[in-house]
Amino acid sequence: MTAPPGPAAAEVFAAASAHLVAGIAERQRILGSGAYETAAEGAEVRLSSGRTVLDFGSYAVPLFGHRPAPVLDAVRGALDGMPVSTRLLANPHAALLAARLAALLDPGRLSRVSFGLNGADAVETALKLAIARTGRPSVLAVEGGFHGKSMGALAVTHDPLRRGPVQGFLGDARHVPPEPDAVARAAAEAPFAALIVEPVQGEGGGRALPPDLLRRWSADAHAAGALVLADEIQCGLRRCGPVSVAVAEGVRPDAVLLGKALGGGVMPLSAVVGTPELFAPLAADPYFHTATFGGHPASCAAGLAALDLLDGVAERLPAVAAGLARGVADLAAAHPGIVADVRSTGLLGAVEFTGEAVAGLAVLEAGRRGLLAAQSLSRPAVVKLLPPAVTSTAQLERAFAILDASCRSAGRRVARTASVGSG
Amino acid sequence: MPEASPAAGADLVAPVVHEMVRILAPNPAEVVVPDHRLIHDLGFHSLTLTELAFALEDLFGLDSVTPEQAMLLASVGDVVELIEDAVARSEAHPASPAEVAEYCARYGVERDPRG
Repeated sequence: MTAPPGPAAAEVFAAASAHLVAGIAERQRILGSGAYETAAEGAEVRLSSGRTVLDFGSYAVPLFGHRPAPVLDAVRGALDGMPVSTRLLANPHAALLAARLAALLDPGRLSRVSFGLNGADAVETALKLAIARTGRPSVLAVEGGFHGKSMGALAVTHDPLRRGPVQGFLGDARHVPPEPDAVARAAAEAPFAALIVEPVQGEGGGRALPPDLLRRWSADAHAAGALVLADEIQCGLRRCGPVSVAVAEGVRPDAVLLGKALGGGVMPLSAVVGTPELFAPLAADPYFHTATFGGHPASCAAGLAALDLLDGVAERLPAVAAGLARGVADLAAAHPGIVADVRSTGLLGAVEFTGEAVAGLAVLEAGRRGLLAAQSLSRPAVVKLLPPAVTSTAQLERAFAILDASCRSAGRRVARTASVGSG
Repeated sequence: MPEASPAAGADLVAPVVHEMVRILAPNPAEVVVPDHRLIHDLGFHSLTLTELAFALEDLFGLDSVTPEQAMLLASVGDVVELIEDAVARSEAHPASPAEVAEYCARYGVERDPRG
């Protein structure tokens, strides 16, 4: 893990504070103890200070670890050939990756693919196709769901804080509670084009929805003439076990949305993998939905190499997942005053603190001690732990030793704050 | 070799605190003085005060400073006084020059001899 000499940290943070989002730059400076990221390999990131930190964050992107060699090789091959597409000629990387995804997720049923770069691109595409297909400009989503922050995606994201400033511009979306008859009730009230749901809510706090609930909702949505979109951008591709959680649980979604690790942790890539029925608007008008970088050759080359790594994830997953589950359970037992609940599904762990402030302190303390982890975006009392599948037992132990010390320190601060407040 | 007295160590606190404040202040001053107010003059807020607390805890071996305690420290002089008292009570230790130099290097700045 080496990197060429970079700019001085002071210069980087001055530029970031002045020209990017200052509040984010300040957090990044604290998490890096004044240093910035320079190189990465596997589960570790090297900082400009020479320090190395474990990466259980990165928005769940490095599922295969940072810089997996087969993905780097595939991308180099694309760069050496033709890194951007004319869009007027056929792009072999995109075509072959589409075929691989169609054969992988739900063969014979989910046979059509559309590529984007960010996960939100996939959400936008799927919503647009569903609304065009059904002629119903209304969508159902789930309380606690997160689907992105672009306008269409934000309409279905359940986050009042981020929706508030643009509320009037967002499309018609209703958020249903996690109750068995919620979709049937919503259907009785008004028609909708699609139900979009994360089988495991990532930014909503790492919460897995019960398979029975998902199957019931899917059946009720289909009975109402609506489509079912499984947002597996964070939980899919074996992060939480199966390649598709929804397909594995018998939900029969009309599309599975993928992203994050799809580009092998190297390139930006997302996909909608859906039924011909969902994709019917594109059969009628091939240019109904296009984007300049959709199906980017280097991204799709990375995706092809990434799919080859999925079997390796399946082999490593049980051991890492068991260590993660044990680790969060131990944290809950050791810090009952500040840890309210813990849970994990595969390689997605969640530590729910008693409040947002103590969760924020724990994240800062962990970064300072050498572990990157993030608060859930729409449930910030929850800290998500997203270890790459290549995380070793020793790295997992190191991560939980850091978390234990961080919880102790955060707990002390909270306790002292309480005593200062009461004194 | 006789041990240095805590009070002697306390004398070395101010230059280090001034250096860290200079590095971390959102509105940095070329030379930090005791009367500089952390929030009003130097632009500190809860997040950056937490960062300052982390640095001073690391360098002086202080127990956790809460954000609320930090918010009560109005001026740079107040911070120096807090740490000098802790050093005098042996609840903290003087910062080693090597650690201070390492901290400065981590942030990509050279230590200012003016403190």
